[in-house]
Amino acid sequence: MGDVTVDALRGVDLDLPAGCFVMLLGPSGSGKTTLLNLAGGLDTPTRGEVIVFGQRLSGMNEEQLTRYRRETVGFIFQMFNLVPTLTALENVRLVAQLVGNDPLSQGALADVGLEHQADQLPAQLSGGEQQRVAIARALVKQPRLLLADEPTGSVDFETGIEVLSLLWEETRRRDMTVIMVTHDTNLASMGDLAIRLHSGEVVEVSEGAALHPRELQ
Amino acid sequence: MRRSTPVNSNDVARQIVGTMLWRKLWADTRALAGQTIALAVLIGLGVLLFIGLYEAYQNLTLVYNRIYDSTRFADASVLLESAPASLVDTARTIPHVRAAIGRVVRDGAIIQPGRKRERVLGRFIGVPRGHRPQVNDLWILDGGYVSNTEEAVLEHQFARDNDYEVGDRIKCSYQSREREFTVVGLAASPEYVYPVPSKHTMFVARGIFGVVFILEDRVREWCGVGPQINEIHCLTDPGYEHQVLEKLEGLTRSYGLEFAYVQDEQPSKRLLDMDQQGFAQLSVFFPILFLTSAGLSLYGALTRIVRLQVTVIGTLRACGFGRQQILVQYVMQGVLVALGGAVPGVALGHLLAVGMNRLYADALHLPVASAVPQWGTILTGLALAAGTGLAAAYLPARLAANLLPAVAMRGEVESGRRLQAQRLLVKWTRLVRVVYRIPLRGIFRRASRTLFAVAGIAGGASIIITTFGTYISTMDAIDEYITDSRKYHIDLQFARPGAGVLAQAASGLPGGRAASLTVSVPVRIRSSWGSGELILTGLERGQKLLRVNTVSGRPMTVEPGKVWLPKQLGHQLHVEAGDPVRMEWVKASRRRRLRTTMQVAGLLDVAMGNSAYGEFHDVRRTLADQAWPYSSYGANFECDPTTVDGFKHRFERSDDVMLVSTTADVIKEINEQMAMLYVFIGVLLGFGSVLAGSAIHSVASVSLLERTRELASLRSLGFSAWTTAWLAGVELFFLAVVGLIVGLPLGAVLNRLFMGAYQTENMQFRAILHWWVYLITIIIVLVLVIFSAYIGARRLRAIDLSQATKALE
Repeated sequence: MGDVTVDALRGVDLDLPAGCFVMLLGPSGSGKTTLLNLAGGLDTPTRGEVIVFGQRLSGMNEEQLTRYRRETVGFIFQMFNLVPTLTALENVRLVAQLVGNDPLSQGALADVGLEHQADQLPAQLSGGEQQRVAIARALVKQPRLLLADEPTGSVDFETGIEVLSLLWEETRRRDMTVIMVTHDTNLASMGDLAIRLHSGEVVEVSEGAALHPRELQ
Repeated sequence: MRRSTPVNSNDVARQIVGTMLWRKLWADTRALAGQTIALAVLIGLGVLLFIGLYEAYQNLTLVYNRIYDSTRFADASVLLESAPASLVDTARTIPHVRAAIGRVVRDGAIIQPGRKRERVLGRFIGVPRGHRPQVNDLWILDGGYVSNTEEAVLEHQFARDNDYEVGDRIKCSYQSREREFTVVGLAASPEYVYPVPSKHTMFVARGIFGVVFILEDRVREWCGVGPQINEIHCLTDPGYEHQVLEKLEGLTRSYGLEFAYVQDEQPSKRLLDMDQQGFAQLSVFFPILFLTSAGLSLYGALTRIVRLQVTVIGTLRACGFGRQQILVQYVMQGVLVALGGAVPGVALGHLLAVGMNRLYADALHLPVASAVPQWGTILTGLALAAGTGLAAAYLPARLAANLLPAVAMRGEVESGRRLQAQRLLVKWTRLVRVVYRIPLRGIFRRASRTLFAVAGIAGGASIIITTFGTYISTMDAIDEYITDSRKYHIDLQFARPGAGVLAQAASGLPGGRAASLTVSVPVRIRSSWGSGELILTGLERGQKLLRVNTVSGRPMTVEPGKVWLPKQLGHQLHVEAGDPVRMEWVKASRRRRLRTTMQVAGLLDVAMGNSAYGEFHDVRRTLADQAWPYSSYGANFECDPTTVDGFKHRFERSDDVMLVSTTADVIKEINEQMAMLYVFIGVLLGFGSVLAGSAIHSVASVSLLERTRELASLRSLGFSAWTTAWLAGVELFFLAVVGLIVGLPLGAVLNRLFMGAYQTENMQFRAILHWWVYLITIIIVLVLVIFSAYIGARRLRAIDLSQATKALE
């Protein structure tokens, strides 16, 4: 018996406009995270092409992908993924220094309302606060593309709304392109565009209402 | 009607749960196969060394005891100048003496024209006619026992080294009186398993000392001894040897008592015991290092496993598993890994023991060998391994058992102290660029991991240092004994006083350069603090052929009335330059009071040998002439190196010469004996490197596994694979530096202790460590770090970022 090949994504053909807030929706295993990872240069497609702001990711080598992630993309993870030994400010500065934006670090932390928690280690922060730090870390790079994978998946509902509000406001203010993965269909109307996936295929592309997360309640 | 036993559903559930837990244990072990094998190997090495060395020690003891028992090796003995043969009857009446013999023993030369060495040292021992000696019997290996005055039995090692076989003729000379015998047997003697002529002789080149057993009446007639004996040997009831020896000393004191000893102090046995003690010490010292490091590795690995499985443990606890079950689960994991390494370790250890025993048996030509598995040692080895596994696993297992299910299911482990420590580090590392703070703080992220890494690296480094230290100290002692001290090519021992003219005349022949006369006499030296025994050697004033350094590093110069003492004896007697000491011939008795008082000229810094030095004529006049034939006259002879063999044969053909030994022969002999040391050094260096390497590699992989998500996140954020690998590598480097900071001084201390354990009155090894030893150790550790970091970097490059960023820490 040979190996079984499972396509995470099949026949996906999307053209997303710059500057819009895209919601990727679908049940577990639908391929939304794979799509996000392809856009972020964390994964490469076995077939087909991924082009972001005119850059063809599918042909890039490891070094080029690293530069792409460094200069173009900001990531927000479900589990926050902060460096546990660095304080909140240091986590932001770590990335800021990588792209030469160190002077913006303090401001980025203030933008997410954590200027008074700057010296706290991640273990001393709540889940919501950790995710705010992660947002500040992503934003300090001033990326053109922000990718968020279930950013509220590890926090409670109220905190989730706070995190989403912050994300929505900051990215709108900066006119950033955002792709956010969620399995919560209630969040669909938060984006400019909602893409629904199922079993690796795009089943629906619809315009969103671009509602502020607080309006979703 | 029979009633069926009701099945308790709880029991069934417990059984299933138990089985599943075992399956989990097995699955966990398989999932971490690489690391499990590395840990098992480390524990296996510890057990291997323990079994190998300790079993070798036990089997050697068995062999020696078998030889001693079979030959009725004396429990208490006295060496005298001369006493009536009837004295042995009195000795037999001492309580707890089971048997006693009196012997006549004389030293002379064995003359063997046509053989490799034409003249060697001979010891002629009288044995009874018609029956075997009741004490110190012979183990006949070939041929038979002597039956008439024309026959002799030869000590088998000498016979083998000089190509004697049963039926050959052997020519012996005592004070220029030559006799020939037919070799009728080759035998092992309990007194010469390690063939040394006396307790003062530390090193005898192979084949230059032969023991010849001849009928006692023939020795008396030939050596002109009469009804006298000069040795008494007794078998005693077990545990009474010291009591008997005391009585024996009292009985023989007035007959020039030279040396009274119990079996353990007999020169050959003492040297063998020292060797065995070395085995015994090594069999404990190195396995302890390995098992400790292995235990720390196991502790680190199990702690990591527990941390990786926090949510699983939380879930198990939530499902109803008790603390005890979780505790046992993780303790068993440690014990099974340990036993997994121990079982092959036992098998290989036994093979190592067999190999070492074989090497020993060959080197000493032992008549028997033993390769019996020592079950007690094997069980101890297994118990040690299981104990290591148990001790290493207990803390992580307790951590797992005490996890609060609710907290654990969130993937968290409470640790307030660590947070405090990290808060401190936040302050201390503020000035460093943010990206460098990660490896710096990473060192203190997990105290257990850091401790383990430091212990492993320090342990490995200290083994490497101790190994080099052993080598350097041994080579230093040999260099000093041979190269630095001996400026002559040939060492002569004469058959009579006054034969020195022979050497002096030879120095004027073509190729001859210089000759310097020597005289030696065994003395007991006394100060108001105590006494000691050694050989007093007289050297000619101004001689340059034997160079011995004083404690201040300058060469000693001899003067009449003054004596140079080895520093260890000087310290023992609490004397220094200018103090008077009394020198007494060891066989002095009321009838022959041979003693003199000399002034201490100073103390000598010597690694090998136990000699004091005085001025030639002074020593000869005050002690040696009167002690003859128990003193020894000789000469050191320097010649053109191309003429050594010619002079050697010339001296060997002279009746006035008893022994000719060349410095080249001594060096060759030492090199042959050093071959085993080189193997030993190589094996230990390998073990030390494996230990440091396994600690470093284990830390590197643990660190990488624990921080997969963190490192993958950094890469997702735009850090290159190289930078993330560099971060992990730098942390490893910091750990290596801390390990070396601990390991280098620890190695120096261990080396000092290790060399100290081998100090005897004849060998004073200096614990020497050159700067390059530290440098090599640092290089070895750094190479291992770079290698581990390289493997880590490769793994990091291959990481699936999309999966790793979601991994649970």
